[in-house]
Amino acid sequence: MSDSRIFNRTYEVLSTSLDVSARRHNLITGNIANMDTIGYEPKDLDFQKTLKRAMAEEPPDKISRTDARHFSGAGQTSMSMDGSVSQDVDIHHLDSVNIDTEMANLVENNIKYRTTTELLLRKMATLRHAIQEGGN
Amino acid sequence: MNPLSGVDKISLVREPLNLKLTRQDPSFLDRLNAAVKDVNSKQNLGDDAAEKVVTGELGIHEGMLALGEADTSLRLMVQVRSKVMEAYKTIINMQI
Repeated sequence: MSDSRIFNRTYEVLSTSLDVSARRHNLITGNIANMDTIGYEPKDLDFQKTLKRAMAEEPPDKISRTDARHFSGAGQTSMSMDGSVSQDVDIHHLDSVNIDTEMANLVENNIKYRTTTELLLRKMATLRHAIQEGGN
Repeated sequence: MNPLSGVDKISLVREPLNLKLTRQDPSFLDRLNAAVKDVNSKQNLGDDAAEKVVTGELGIHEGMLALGEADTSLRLMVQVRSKVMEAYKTIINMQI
């Protein structure tokens, strides 16, 4: 996050939550798209655990590369947001994806995402009001 | 909910003069400090509520309520400050 004098830790938590929600949305839609694939393993992630892990991670340092042979810090910024196989399903069966469960997860995740966006918008509106009317 | 306070300040009941002279109200500076501290604590409460909504410890409506309270209290404080500055400018430009 940028300036910690006006953006406190709450903004970091909210933006990380948006990241996790978007990642989970991609996983669920991937499951739904592969509903008819034989041998597909449905993936999902635990929101709370992933958020805690992502918040505990240090942000990657921006290091200038002084040599072309150095490894770049970019590309490794993807946090441990990999989905795990959700439950012990029979992957050799055709119906390895339960469409009802996936749809319920999709709606729940969508509500979470919209709520987080609304919280961010309201905090930003308060901050903007304090800046605009702050004084003359 | 908090009980309604401040209504007795606009009542038409006249208190006796000796009570009015011996009454010790908190000073203007103390009231101002308490109000600003109250607004600040409401901001911190709103931040905590937002984080708790994200982590699932608090309902959505409670978080929105806390954020709305913080926003409204800050807007009220800003308006009161504007009024005070306007009154000060009016007084400082008065010709005596």
